[in-house]
Amino acid sequence: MKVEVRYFTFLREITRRRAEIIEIEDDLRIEELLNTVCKMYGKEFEEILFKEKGHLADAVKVLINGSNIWRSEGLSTTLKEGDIVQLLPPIGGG
Amino acid sequence: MFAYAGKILRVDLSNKKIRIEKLPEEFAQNYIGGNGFAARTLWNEIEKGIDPLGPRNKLIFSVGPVTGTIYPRTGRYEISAKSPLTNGYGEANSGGFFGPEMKYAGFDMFIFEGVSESPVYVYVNNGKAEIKDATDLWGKTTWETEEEIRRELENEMVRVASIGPAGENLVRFSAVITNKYNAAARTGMGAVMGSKKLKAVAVYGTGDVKVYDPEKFFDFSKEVYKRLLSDPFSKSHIEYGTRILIELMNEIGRLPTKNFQMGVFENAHKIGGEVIKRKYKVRNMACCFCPFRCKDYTKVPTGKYKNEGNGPEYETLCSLGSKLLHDNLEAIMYVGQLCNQYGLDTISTGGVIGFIMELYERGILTKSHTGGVELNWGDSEMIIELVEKIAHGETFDKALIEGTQRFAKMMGKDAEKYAMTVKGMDISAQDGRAQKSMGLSHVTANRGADHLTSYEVMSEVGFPKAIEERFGKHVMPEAADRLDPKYKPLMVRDCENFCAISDSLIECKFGTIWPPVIYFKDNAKTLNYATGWSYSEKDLRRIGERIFVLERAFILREGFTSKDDRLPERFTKEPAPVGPNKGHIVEIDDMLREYYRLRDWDERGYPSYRKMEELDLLDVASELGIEE
Repeated sequence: MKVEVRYFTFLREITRRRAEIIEIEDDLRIEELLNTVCKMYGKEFEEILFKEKGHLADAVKVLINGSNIWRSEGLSTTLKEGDIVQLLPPIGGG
Repeated sequence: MFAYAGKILRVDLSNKKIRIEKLPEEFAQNYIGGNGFAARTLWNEIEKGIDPLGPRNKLIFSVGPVTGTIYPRTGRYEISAKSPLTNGYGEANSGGFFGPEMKYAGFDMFIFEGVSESPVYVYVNNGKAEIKDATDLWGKTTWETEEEIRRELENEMVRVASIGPAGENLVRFSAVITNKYNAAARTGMGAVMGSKKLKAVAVYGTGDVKVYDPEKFFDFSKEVYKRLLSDPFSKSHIEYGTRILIELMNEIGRLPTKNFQMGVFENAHKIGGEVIKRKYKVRNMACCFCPFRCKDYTKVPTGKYKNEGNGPEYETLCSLGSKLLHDNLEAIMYVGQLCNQYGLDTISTGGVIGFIMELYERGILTKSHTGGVELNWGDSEMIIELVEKIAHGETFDKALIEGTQRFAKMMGKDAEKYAMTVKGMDISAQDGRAQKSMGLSHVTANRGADHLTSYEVMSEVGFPKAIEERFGKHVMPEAADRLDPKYKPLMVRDCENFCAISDSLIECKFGTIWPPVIYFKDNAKTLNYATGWSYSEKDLRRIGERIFVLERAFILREGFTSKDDRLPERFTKEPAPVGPNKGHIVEIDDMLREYYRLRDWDERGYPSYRKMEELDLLDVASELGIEE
């Protein structure tokens, strides 16, 4: 199945693209998708995303279809066909 | 008194009289500074029902005890008066360097009264003030005014707060600009200056600020600097500033688009912080004593929309961009600089333009009203023309200078349904359907639809840890869920009381609730080291509530009631049509009921006698007819 991954700020500076479609196995957990993306973009990308293996960095918010993954099953959340995964930068306010 | 300059400058513009008064110690202890000073002074000195553009309105500039010290993020000053836009509590504050200069010149507060017969500016120089002729400055932009005054005074270091043509033409949403790009924009404070024929206030000072315990104050300031800069969220704030929010808010469906018809803009990436950084950013800019330096100096070097200066913030990009389905970034930046020069609030300017574009789309406003001109979404040239005309009072027989709500009333029919205002003020760049706490904040803010009165952004993409620390574990996970109305009244109330303290110190809100680095206990420390008084965290919570409730009392005295605590129908009856929040409305009635209960307000929105007694506001209660 296919999902879309969107990158912002420092992550986009590494990927040099706003978004991409990634083909994954059915019912893949978000953590596995993120590991795949880290392999694609290397150590610098991984260091922004993860504090340590299995633990997201404090400064990154991972959303699926606009909803923070902690509202679901965190890194164990299962992906569905057509999901949009947003790797949000450390930013907020108004 | 430590930390304060200890003086108030009172200028009677009608009689050209200047008086210097002592800042009362008890007043300083009870209201801290900035917004607190303004709230009490406006309550005491402004009579109910006066014309905000008449001689009986008073215009206040105020700063706080930490203004002008090294404590970080404190370059701000506050301007207040009865608002000509809302007829209620008018207040705006801005960054830059003007606030510290007031303090160095020897004052905590300026009060301007009456109306001058001819244009003037007031020059404050090291404890003295004079009223100077500004006839030749009338008609000039804020940028020209600032330069002319510096030239006339032969002092490049003088700080100037001025109005442009918009304020002179009494545009009800005109701003006061300092440092060319820093706008005290909301609630029409520029028009109040214009009505007084006060073109500018120029300040120069070489004094200093004496704090009670310099060593502890310095150490704590250093600690706060470290905390701010080491927060994981600070790096991107410095690199991208608020501008990056355009894309982020779009991802969570919270980017107001097409006059709030939806929360998703398909071309958000064309007008956001990333493209600004890549194509237009020259360098960072900072306000006085701020380690964040979150502003960008930007440059569009060539072309029709050539411009340069401190580039647009998120609110401007949204108000002149997505709210108008407008994706020409260079044109947005150009219009943003026009607003700075003419002295216009970009939020309300975009608000009223978006509103008439929707009326035109729906056939409520026709070519017969516009003189044959078409008002199409996203038309850069039309937006520029409208801004020019608004600033110079030339549109629709001057009707647009009255602002969205008054224009809606003039149009009649269904127009009011599409006026995206609360209490007469255009809603800032948040959609409450995508973040329930913001929907409530827009309604409860005393100055009208506003995000900064509460600045409840912890639930935006979730700061569960900070929310747990501030509100307890029992509120999780609902409190951190932006779409769940549960606990949002509790959070909004707390944030409002806290922001009342921030606006009185005065400190910038970046670093308070987002990222959540500074809280009541930190402010108590800062104040105690600065003043030598002994505020507890509990004291500051009480003072914050006192200031907020006093502002509320001001609008109640002007005739506002719970009936005015209402959102436009779009947010309560039109579910979000697209995006991650599709189907959501703002559950305002339930949230408001809980909010009133927490505040101890009755069904009319009046505080109880018990609450007023607790806040030491019984004199105010008596005037409002609140009985035991």
